[in-house]
Amino acid sequence: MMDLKGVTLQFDDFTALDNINLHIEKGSAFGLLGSNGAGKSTVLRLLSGVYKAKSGNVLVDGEEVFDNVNAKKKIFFINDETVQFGGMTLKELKEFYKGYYESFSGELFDSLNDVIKLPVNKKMDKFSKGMKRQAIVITGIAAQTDYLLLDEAFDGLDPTMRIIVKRMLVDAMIDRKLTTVISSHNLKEINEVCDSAALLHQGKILFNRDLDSIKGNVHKIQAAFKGEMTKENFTDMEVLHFERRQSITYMIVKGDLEFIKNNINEKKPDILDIIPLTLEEIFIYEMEGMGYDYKGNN
Amino acid sequence: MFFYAVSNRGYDDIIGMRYSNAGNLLSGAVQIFTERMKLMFNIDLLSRTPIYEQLYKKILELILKQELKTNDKLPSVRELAKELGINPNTVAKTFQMLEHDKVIYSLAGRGSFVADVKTDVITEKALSGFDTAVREALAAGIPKEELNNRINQIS
Repeated sequence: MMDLKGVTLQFDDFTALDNINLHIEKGSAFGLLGSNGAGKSTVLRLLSGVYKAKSGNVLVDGEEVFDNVNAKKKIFFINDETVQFGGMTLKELKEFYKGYYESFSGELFDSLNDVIKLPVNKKMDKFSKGMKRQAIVITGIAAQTDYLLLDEAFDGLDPTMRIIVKRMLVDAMIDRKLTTVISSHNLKEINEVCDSAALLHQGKILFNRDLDSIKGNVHKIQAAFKGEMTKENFTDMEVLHFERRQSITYMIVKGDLEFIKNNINEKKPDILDIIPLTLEEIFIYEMEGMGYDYKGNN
Repeated sequence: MFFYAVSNRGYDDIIGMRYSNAGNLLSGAVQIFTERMKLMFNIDLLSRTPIYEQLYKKILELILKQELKTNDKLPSVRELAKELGINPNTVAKTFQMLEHDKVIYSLAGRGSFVADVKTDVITEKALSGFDTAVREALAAGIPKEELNNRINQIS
């Protein structure tokens, strides 16, 4: 497992992360969501021991990761900057990482490359962006570390490659309980691949939960009542958003569907329509509930 | 606003079908997934319903429709996760729930199989939806007689 405990990190007078707490379970696929500059890459760099926290603890299996070779050998970090090893061929890249990670499997590397078929004897600075990306992804999987961190994981990969990479990750998750941490601003991707996710905004975590439990727990309600209804009529439910347009009341309510239904039915609506929200809608309303204006420039 | 617009689902489906062979090369496992099976398990990744719930209902539905019969072998967690492009933990969770509800059983090292599901378990599930509908109708002020008439009309 990986833990961030009360982590704060500043760059000069800019606070990149502000008292962050995060727990990542072993064997899970964890998604880091957020806009550009929200702090996603900073979290990954802390987890891989590239940065040192100003205060707080960054722990991998209970051990502080910064300056800790043992802990770092459990982690492979796929950076969003394309490979720094332009002068090397794929063959040399493989040998390089073989020397660093004891768990590296040359066999697995070759079998992965049998699928994507990158040239092994060509210098990588001659590779396209997508090819460099593929090279580092298969290297990361072949390193067979306990943890694989992917920054903007699927950027630069075409749809075929995305599917192939996802399948490689499925194998690794089943065969050796690989833990992946994936940052992205693409909710759809995170929804497919991850089982839990955290939303970062301006260096803070807005929320952090199991994706299945978020879905199906927030509902959009459209109802028409005989009398005039205000938000105060619904204080016994957790209402995230309340709006009236002519005679129709629109609400976003969190909680158990049956409870909400019974509660509203007691108020004898003429019309009642309850629709569960998409993950995307939930994030937007949750942010609004926490005082962030999603319509603004944040 | 930083969320991507939701992309076209049809496109992903086509890609998934077309390139599934390339991905299959990755696993030495025997592929028991036929094109038909793929269609059967098709789930909607953009749906508002959680993926595990969709998969759970899908498997119940397949049993009810006799597409899956007692003692039929289910695809493995790995095969389903790869075919559907979803997290294996989600598939495993669904299987655990199905096993808990005695819809499937598993044999160590051999996989998961369809249990001898009493149709009353499935009937029970279908009726719970009916009960909810009746309660809602009563709460909305529809008289009991009218509901009875309705049942007679349908059946």
